[in-house]
Amino acid sequence: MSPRAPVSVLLFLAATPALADTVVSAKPEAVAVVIYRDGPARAFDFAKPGGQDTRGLALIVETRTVDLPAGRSRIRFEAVADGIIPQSAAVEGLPGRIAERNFDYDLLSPGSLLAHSVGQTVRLVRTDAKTGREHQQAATLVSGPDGVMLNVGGHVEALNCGGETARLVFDHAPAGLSDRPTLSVLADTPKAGRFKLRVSYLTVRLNWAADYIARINPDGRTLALTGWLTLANRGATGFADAPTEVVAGHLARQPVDLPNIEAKPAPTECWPDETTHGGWPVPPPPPTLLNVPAPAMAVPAPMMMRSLVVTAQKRAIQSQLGDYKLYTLAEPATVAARQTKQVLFLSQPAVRFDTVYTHAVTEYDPASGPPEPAAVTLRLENNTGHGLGQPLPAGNISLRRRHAGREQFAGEHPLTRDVPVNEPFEIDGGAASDVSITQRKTSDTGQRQAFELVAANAKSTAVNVEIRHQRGYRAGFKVATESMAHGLKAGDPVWRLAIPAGESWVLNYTVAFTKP
Amino acid sequence: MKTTLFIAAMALAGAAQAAEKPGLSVTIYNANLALVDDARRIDVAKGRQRLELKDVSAAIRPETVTLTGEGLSIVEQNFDFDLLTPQKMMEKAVGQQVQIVRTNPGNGAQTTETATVLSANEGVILKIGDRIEVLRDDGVPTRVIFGGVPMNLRASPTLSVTVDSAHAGERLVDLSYLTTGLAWKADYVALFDEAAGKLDLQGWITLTNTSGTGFTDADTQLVAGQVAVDGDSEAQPDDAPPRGIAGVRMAGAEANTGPGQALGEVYIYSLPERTTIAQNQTKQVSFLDAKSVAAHKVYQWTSGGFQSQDNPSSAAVAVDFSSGASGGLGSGLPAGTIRIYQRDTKGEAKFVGENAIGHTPQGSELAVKIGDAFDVTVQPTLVSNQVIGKQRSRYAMTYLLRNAKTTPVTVELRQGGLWRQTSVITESLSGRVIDAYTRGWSVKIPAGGQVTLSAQLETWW
Repeated sequence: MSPRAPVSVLLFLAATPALADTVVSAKPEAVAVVIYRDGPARAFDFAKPGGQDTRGLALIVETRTVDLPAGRSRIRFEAVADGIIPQSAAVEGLPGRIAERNFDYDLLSPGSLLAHSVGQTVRLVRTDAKTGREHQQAATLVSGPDGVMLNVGGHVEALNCGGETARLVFDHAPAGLSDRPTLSVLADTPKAGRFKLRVSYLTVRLNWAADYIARINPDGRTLALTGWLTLANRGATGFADAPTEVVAGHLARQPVDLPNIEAKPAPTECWPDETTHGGWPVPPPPPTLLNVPAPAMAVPAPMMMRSLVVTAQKRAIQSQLGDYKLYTLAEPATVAARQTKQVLFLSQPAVRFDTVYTHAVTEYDPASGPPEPAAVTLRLENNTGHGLGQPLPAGNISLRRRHAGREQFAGEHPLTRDVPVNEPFEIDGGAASDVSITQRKTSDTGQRQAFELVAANAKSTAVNVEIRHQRGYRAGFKVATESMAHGLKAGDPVWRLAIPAGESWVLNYTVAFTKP
Repeated sequence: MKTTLFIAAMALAGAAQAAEKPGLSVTIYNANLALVDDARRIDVAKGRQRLELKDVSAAIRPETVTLTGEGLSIVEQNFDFDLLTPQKMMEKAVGQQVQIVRTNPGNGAQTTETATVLSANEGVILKIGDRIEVLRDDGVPTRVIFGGVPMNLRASPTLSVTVDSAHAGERLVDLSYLTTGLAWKADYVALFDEAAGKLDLQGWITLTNTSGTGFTDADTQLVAGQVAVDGDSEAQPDDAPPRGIAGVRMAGAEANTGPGQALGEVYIYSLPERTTIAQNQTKQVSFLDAKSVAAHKVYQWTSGGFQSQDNPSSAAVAVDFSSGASGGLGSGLPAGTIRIYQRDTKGEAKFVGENAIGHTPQGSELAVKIGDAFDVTVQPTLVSNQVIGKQRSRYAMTYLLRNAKTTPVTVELRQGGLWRQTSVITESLSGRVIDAYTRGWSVKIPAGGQVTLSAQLETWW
């Protein structure tokens, strides 16, 4: 954020006739950032171009010092974030009453300059193509926003159709237009003085995601879990040296209602501007001031994130905010415009886990099929006894195994929910290569269905296999016969088999539905 | 023909009353609609004439315009929206003479000729002397100079009124019309202190102006309530949920003692001083500031049917408070968005969620859902589903409630999905009937602990 010199246009901005002095606060002295998570954010999406510009949410708290005269003054807060949700703004620390708070986004652009100058006298400056000399004429702008038409000495014509360079010169910028969207307050000050203000507001275009790396240790029973917070700023405003925090948990939100900020280019056109039947197109007129398209000021075109910064191994500190988790970065961070930044928040070297080979059966499966690989499921308990006991915000888990001294990537799996302390959770470990299940429905009477499953362990170690019958919503379900006793998981019957190395075990069961 | 118009400061009692002083008053409804009452001092000649009314809203609904003034009778009202563009100018010039100025690309010499425009269909056919040419067909830049602007082409949509005046002279005329592009809603900021069981509530009126016109020094009133609008107009009815008042558990029956005056079925909020509502502006004015309103937090978890969940799910967190006088607020609340803030462990106020509330009468019980609890979860399990008759089942449910917080919590657990002739066979904690199809339990969970609630319910399906 570089301080921008106020341009002369600002002098016209005292829109209220109740003469209020305008005090400009060019930029905050200090800023703090709290980033919320908007939706199931994935860090690898942040750096992609495009995307929705209303995603993400952050609370920005700025400290600004202003010198206020006694009486009524308009305080303009410049260099606020470009994604500001203006109705969320709050200004604290003023000695008197705030009469009103405004957010103005009628931008000074070539198009709005024209629109506000309709009916006024402008100067038309033409350069003679032969002599290079400039001619000035007074002209009245007859029409602006839908195509420039000028009244020059009682005759009416469009701009820039004659091949020579022509431009419009305005004597002053229209009142009420700003160079960028601006937050301001109209405040009554009982006594002049210097005041320290706290300006806070919500903004979109900042987001964060949690990313985990789970490295399975050589013992095969523990894993090293590291968690990273990925902060992303898709906006055009950077936050330098800001104490930065992120909030984990799901907040109720309302649809973001951002003002429709647009800068209009100046429409200059001839009609018709091209030949009408296969001739050569007219050479484009030389560029003039008014033909330069307006830069998209407020809503910049999304572009690739310029940089990705991985900070040193300093942990973010977790605390409580209401019913959410607050992570405070260990030191102030600079979240630059269009940047993602990663900070460590979790590092647990030995988290115990159990590997279970799982398979699910439904009555709608084909009666028989080829052997299927079992699914590898890592079961964990989020408590200190198992080497964890930390809140785990939902995120992406990248699973790594070591093999022959090298680290291998073993798949990427979402942790779809926030996991509080003392809850069990699972990590999907992909498909097994050496544990397979062959499933067959051996009979079906409608009310009774019999299944036979063969679990084969081709590994050199014993494995735990869990067969789950998903009962669905049919009423009157029960297990009628079974070759071994079942347990329950989420209301479904499960059979747990410990299969020694190199063996195949067979499970038979029958499910029945009571007739209503 | 142009008439010079003046706008000056004045106050207006109401739209229907005749103006006594010049000035602008604006009444804004929630539904993207506003009534503009504009009293102007105009010099009118005797007899029939056309008054062109500048500086009216660009989003005016012309069929709603009324103009009244002493000794004036309206002959007709016109709203011209044929906008002036280079193409329109050319189309209107068909059959007329224009000047064309060509610049020789070789030597820069300019030649001017008079031409008659024969047609302007996907290109312009000109008659120059006794030859027929297509404009700019040779690629040579050519200026076209028109004699003047046709009467009904405008740079912006323009309202004109033809009046018959009984006498000449300056007088006050009163112009009133409806316009879209002006809207308002309320925005609330609530700082919730959970430990003290209180919240501080600030209310702001948020005006937005996208009408294309600024309103200078206007006496502004805001109307809260539903007004019927023509569905085909650009005005939007409130986008409130189809039934019920958002965020309100029980509507109040207290007379409003807060800001806002009741008028028929609506409430009127008057801004304390004249204000300028600029084009492309969001303006906020404070209207409510209540401290230490009694409030408390509620955890709620609801299931709409009988099923198991593979994973626990979070309980919703709501902040409950009353808009009644006894709780410390004592005000009706116009519809809008309420944003809740809570202090973190260092005392900094932080945003913790937002939700919509409808037009809320005073004395109502509000339950504003702010989000989901990270540390309070419920995992339901359908243990069995026995068919015990035609279209009747006995559902055995267990609910595992967990609390990872360092304080005990109470979860309001709701089991919906019941139907006719529901009976409770067993329940491990005594529950209560919420409605015919919903049973509820208040389950206390100790800090860092868990509780299993089990229940067997019979009902139709």
